[in-house]
Amino acid sequence: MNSILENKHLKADPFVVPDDYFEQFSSRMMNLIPETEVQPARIIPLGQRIRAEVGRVIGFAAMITLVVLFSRSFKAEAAASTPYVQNVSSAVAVNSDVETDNAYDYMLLDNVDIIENP
Amino acid sequence: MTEPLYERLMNPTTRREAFTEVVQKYSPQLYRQIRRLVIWHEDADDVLQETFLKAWAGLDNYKGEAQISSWLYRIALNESLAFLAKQKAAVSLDDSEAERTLESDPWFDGDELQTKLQKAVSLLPEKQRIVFNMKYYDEMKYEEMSEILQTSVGALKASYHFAVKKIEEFFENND
Repeated sequence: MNSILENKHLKADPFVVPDDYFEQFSSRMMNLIPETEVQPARIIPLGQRIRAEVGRVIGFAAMITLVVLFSRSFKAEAAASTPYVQNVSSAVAVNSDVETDNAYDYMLLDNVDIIENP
Repeated sequence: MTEPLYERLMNPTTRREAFTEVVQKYSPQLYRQIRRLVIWHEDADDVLQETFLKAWAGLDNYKGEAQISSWLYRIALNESLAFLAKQKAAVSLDDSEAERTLESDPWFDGDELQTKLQKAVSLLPEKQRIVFNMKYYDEMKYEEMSEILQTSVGALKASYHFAVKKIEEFFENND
């Protein structure tokens, strides 16, 4: 006995779709898909890149130069504008030597051996 | 398995264009598979949309190890089963409900015999329904089905065998 399923008529697809369904479906579907923004790579010409790098280096060097010059100028001005401070330092140094000599002299006075046997 | 379409899908700049081709190419066969499970055209349309939305969202996880068609098939079946789980009523229908439902559907063009077959298929367990539809209507090879369903060929053959027996018994008992 043949199976009922061998009837080829049964294999026909009984489900139908509206006209142009699949064509419209594709459009509807892609409208649902979110747009993905891809940023294009920015192409910078080599010459422009080199000029930009050189400019950066020159700018940096100029900045360093200015800093150095300014700091030297500041030191010179600082020295010229405050002589008292410098002289006092020298005076302190001289006075310290005098006091040391006086201290030694005092010790020598007490050291009879040194006085009697110079 | 890699293919030019796969490479274009993986490239962000060509992905959208390639996916449009995927939709145009695979929507008819996916729709048929979905429709046989969910029955109603409107429901099949919804599930088909969900299928492609899931596919788009999962493109980064698709490594090309399976054919695009197999990968999409799997998503479509999962979405169909998920839909049926929510619907419940669409899976099993009693005699009178099935004939009324199918006959009232403007997008069902079957005669009495075809209506009876759909009724019989709707009474099968979901996995058997899927196997039966793929084998009987799509005439897919067991090896193809095995790749899609991730089930052994032997299990698929057994499943189809039991499905056929149940359908034949239904026709004999409802002659």
